[in-house]
Amino acid sequence: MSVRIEIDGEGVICEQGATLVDVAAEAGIYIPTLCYLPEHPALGTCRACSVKVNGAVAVACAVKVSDGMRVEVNDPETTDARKALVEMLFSEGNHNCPSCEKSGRCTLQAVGYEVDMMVSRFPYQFPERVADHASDAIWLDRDRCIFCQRCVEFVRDRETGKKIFSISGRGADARIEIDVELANKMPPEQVREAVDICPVGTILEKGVGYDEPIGERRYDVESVKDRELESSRRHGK
Amino acid sequence: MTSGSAMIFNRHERDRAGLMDILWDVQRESGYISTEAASGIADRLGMSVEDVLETATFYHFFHTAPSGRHRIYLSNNVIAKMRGHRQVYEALEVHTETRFGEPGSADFGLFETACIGMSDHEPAMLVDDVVFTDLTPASVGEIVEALKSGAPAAQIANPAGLPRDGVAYVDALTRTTVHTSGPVFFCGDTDYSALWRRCLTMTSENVIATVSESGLRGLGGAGFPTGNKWKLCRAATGDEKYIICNADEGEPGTFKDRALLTYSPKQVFMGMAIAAHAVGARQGILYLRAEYAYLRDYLARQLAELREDGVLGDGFDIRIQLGAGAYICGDETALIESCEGKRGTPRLKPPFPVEHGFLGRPTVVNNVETFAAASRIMQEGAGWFAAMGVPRSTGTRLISVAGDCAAPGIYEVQWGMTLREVLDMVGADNPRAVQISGPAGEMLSVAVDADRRLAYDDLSCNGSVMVFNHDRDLIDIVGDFMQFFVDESCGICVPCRAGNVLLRQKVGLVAAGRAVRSDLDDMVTWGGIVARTSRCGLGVTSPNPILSTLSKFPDIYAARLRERNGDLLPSFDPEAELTGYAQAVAALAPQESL
Repeated sequence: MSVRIEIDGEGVICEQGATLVDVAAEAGIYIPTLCYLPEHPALGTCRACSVKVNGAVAVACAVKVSDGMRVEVNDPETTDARKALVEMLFSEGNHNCPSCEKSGRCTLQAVGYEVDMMVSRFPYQFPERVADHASDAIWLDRDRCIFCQRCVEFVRDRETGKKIFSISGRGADARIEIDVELANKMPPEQVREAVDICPVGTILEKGVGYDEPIGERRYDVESVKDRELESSRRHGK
Repeated sequence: MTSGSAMIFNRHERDRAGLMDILWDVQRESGYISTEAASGIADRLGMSVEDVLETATFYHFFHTAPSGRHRIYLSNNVIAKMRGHRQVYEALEVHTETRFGEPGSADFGLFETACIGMSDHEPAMLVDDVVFTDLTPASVGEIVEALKSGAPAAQIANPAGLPRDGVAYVDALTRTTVHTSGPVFFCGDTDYSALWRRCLTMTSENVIATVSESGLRGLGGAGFPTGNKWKLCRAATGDEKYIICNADEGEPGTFKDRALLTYSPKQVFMGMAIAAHAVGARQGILYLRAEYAYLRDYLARQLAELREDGVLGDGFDIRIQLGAGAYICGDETALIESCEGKRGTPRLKPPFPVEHGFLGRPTVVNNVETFAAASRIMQEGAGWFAAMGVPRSTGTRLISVAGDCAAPGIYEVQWGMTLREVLDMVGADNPRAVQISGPAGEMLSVAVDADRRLAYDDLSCNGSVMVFNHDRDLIDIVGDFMQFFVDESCGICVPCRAGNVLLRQKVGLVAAGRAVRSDLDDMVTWGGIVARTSRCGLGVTSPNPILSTLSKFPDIYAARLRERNGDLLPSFDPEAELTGYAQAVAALAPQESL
């Protein structure tokens, strides 16, 4: 069923029950996301897609549209909150873009540009995080983990459905973990899928790296915003 | 796998929902959950080892490293700190010859823990599932010496040898003072079989209509109309439905659910049975916080009696699910996740539990006090209940009062009572501030707010009332509350996980006298961001201690501010920075000479 919603004052016709972040992208309005993956259940962990829905802040990845919904993406307060959330992530972990293998195809970095972040307003925490290199094919760099839960939820052992990645501890002491035995069973294309699904440089494939020249990397060629809008146009039409 | 773990498995279903119980058995038997044990559990339940540890490491009372033969958890809540917590802390370290925050010895592990629901008898601690109250350095000395001589904690706490499933035992441990008797709570004996038979003659619709007409709202704090919740769950499609009683009373300062479970457990269970009749549920779960584990045998006995009386067992039954130490499990969807053997992470909503709850089935989750009130409403009628209180906040509620007052304990009050009346009733001593609804609530100024009323649209109280006199350092208290939220954030969402750490640091700057005016502005803006963008109630309310004190007591902040002088921010401590440099040079020097 088609319904009409309003995004920043403009009418948008869309399907009842569609996900707001997709609806917005199809209408040409980019809402930054870090944990959301189209066609997958919403995780709602990064909160970077916070917008106002009927006056209250909600995450656009978890909102199903309904008729008459009034959405504000560009109001200054929520725009700043989205930027602040990205800045919080930069200050929470250890993110050194120039030396990171994922630079240029890191979604956190790309979204940082998109929300006009120059430097984090929050004090950098410089946490001590130990990398895990025990598995055969994966290098787990915990410095960069943003706890989006994509790998935890969407990368499972193909035979048994068991979790390969998981989070231990809680709150600020949370830590990404890898089940080495199961990780060593991952076929090469699943390893690459895990690397790809990771929005930062936490899950890296051993034995390869820095193979795309600066200027030709994913987000050098096309900004995260253009990519998201482009892909939704392909899906939508 | 050892024979011990084989025995543990024989007691449990091969089902992830049994994981919490399995982890508890291993923890009790071995003192910790080793990787080997986790691996055995993982094989048994068809999970990865890390998945088992994901749950185990989330909860405060599960240890993945040896934690001593006796595990001692000292409550570090704000009331304890007003009552000699520090001296008890030091005495424990001396007598056990171990330190808090360190691995401990073969005999003892010392841990600090958030409020254990003993604010009327702080300082208090848990030793191997048993609670010890009104501690002094001398009394902890005696307890530790007795443990060293081989006496079990249960025996030390219960020298008279009272049966552990009797109320006398629980009463001896906790000595709760309940100052009121009725109209709704603590009114004496009730014939629950008769009440149950009467409820069964009513249709489900009539039960729900009665609860709706009474105006009863959730007494856990959120205030959702109970009748509506039951109606939605009844209307939800599903063959199997569940009733869950939220006994994860974790809001610091509150202990009224503990009192209800001690003195009126059948009133609570009766409310669950009535809800089951109303929505068509066959199974109920009492989610009991691990801090109240000493109530378990007693509550199991009460359930057995209700089965003997024909209230439970035929059509509807209740089991007890023990938590394992996580404030966040007071959130109903986090609680459901925990019941399913997972980390206590709040779910995205919608869908709400009434449609998609425990194991994906329609579930009613209500607080202990709400079920007890529903039970009494079925006894006395909707009109009787609705005649009390004020419009939109009908009836009464229990408050747990602690802090600077002559008579801490439990009181039943009608909604609409003013803060001034509450303070007079409890004999408040020169009160300056009142923290209402715990850290998640609001810090009230007695000078400004005394005439405000307890009501959902004014002072929406969840039962916690902490009174602070003019001698208390409110900034310290705010810092303590923020540390509580840092410790208890589940970490699933960015603003709550990272934002509360930042807010805690800012309060630390103020306390240290190194903050400037702009730090206060940051706290307001950052607090607003955390509150607006967090995933669940924890992050939505966690900035409240800062925001409410900044608005009610701006002077306490202004008095600690430093003027900016020159180019350096006052938060920049040149001395500390230079010492750090010197330390780094010293640490690196030997390596250079190699």
